[in-house]
Amino acid sequence: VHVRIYYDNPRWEEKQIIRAIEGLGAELTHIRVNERPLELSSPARMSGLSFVRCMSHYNALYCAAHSETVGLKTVNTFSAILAAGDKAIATMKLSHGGLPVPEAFLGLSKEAALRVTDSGLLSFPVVVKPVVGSWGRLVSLASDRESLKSIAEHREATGSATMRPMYIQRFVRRPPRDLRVFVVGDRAVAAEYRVSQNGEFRTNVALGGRAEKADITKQVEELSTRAANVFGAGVYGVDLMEDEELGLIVNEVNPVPEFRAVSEVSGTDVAHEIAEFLAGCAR
Amino acid sequence: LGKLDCPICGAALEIPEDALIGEIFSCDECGTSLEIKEDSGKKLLAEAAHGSEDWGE
Repeated sequence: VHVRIYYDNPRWEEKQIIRAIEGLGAELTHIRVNERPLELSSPARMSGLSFVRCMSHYNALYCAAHSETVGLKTVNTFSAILAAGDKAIATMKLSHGGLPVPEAFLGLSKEAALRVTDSGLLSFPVVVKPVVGSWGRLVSLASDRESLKSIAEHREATGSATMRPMYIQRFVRRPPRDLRVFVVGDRAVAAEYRVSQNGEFRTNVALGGRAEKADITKQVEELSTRAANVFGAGVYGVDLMEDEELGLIVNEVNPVPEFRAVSEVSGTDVAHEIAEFLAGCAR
Repeated sequence: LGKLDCPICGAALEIPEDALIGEIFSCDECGTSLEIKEDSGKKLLAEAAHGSEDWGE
């Protein structure tokens, strides 16, 4: 078994995965994409499997495309990273796949964004997110028209193509937590509650959200694996929310998920689970 | 890897043996985010790129 791991700035997670793959006795090649150019015009064919673990979403996309082009079986696939890594596309795919998701709209201009609430498609408060990004960065709560307008103007002023599309989501009334489920292949292997702190509405651990152990109930397993499978078999962090009215709904699916906190609170060796899955795919 | 110098303030950072090229550390003295790089086979610390809007999971 030969695994190639693509990474840019390796985190705790990538180091754990590298250890776990080596622990299985598999041959491992590091592809450090910050140092090594990816050959586009006549890349040499390769065999085996690659695991894409770039911290940058766009780096991950290019690496997955490169990996698939040279003939490697790729986890996660280019199409999975593309679709799950963009909140707007992910919501469309999840909804189309029959998964319960919070009502959401995409405003591709300030005018379109304001029309979401002006025309009553959603009522305030609404949650506004960039379509690409993580760790709760620039996720905002708009409580009225003025704040939504300000957010839209700030986004447009950045001049950034990834900041301009505004993902506008119903504010889900729920306990101050969400449920992160780590899905590997067709199994939910670990779960954690991420509990928001100090009145913060976002639950991201990167923003101080506290991780607590969560049970993988039959419903959690079924919903999280169905959500992951919308994007194809792979390795995903599925975020569920406990809607006071609807019960469990799917918020996001992360295609290059971190797992330090969920490993610590669940006691599951997530890196080993991933390594076993990769070895199985490579055989 | 032993000790490597912060290129901003000169403080010596203790870098663990299992550190990888590209890994990001924070300088204890000045707080700068630093990335391990390799130049002619020699490991060194350089100021890390600022967090990009597409960084994450």
